[in-house]
Amino acid sequence: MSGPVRFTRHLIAVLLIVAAVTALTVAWAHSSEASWLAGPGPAAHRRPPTQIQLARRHADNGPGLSLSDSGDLIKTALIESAIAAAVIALSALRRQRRRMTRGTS
Amino acid sequence: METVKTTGAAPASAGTAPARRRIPTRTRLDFWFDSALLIAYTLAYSLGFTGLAVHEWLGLGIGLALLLHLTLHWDWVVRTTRRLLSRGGRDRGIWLVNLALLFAMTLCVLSGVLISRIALYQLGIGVPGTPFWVSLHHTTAQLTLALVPVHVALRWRWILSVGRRVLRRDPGKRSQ
Repeated sequence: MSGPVRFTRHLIAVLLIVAAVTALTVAWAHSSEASWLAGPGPAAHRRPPTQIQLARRHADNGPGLSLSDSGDLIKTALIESAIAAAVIALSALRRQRRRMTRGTS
Repeated sequence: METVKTTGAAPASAGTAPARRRIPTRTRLDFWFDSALLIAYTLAYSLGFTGLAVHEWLGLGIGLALLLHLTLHWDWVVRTTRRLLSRGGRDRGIWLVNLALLFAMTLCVLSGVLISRIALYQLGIGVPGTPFWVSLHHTTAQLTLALVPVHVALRWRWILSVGRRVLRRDPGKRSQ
């Protein structure tokens, strides 16, 4: 199988999976079980915002990066680093233990 | 994502530099593409830093990049799934994390699109933006923040090994 054909086949497989997940979630959103996530009450049935409201929100939010709020970025990077470090430490520990077991047997 | 692939290559300058193994283009592509994806994800998660407009456009870009990432690693998905179904395997943990991440990322991007206030509005598309999709976006975003570092860390040996060679400067090239 040539490269582009192979790539296309793989892409189609990925798109099918994503489409299946999307379809299931849309079905969930329209079922009575949706309140399990969104919470009961009038908020769950609130109307979506109008285009004018959306335009106003757009103006409020500003278009660019807020470099002064880099604390948010640092927090995200720290959380990621901490979780990754914990997984790497566990993995190294397991590997070491496996080696020791192999060495004694 | 998989093992480090290397090919034997003749030394650049015979006699002076030690024989180095060349990194295949595909491995190099994986390294840089996945690094860019991780940086983009970290930025997109930091909504206070990026602002809503950049957050939404980055999110859409990440959605497309994830399709490509999964397509490029589809062989691994098929191979590992077959191995797990036939006799179990040592990649079970990684496979489960990746599966959870696939669901979480798909739902996060999908719900992000459906609650978009700026990006889709600029494209002239109206979206429902109901509380269900807002809650789903928040929940799956938190899930991805836990799963992405695990996904990366489970491949730390590959990252270290390829990263070391990709980022190493060639002394022969520098002096020219």
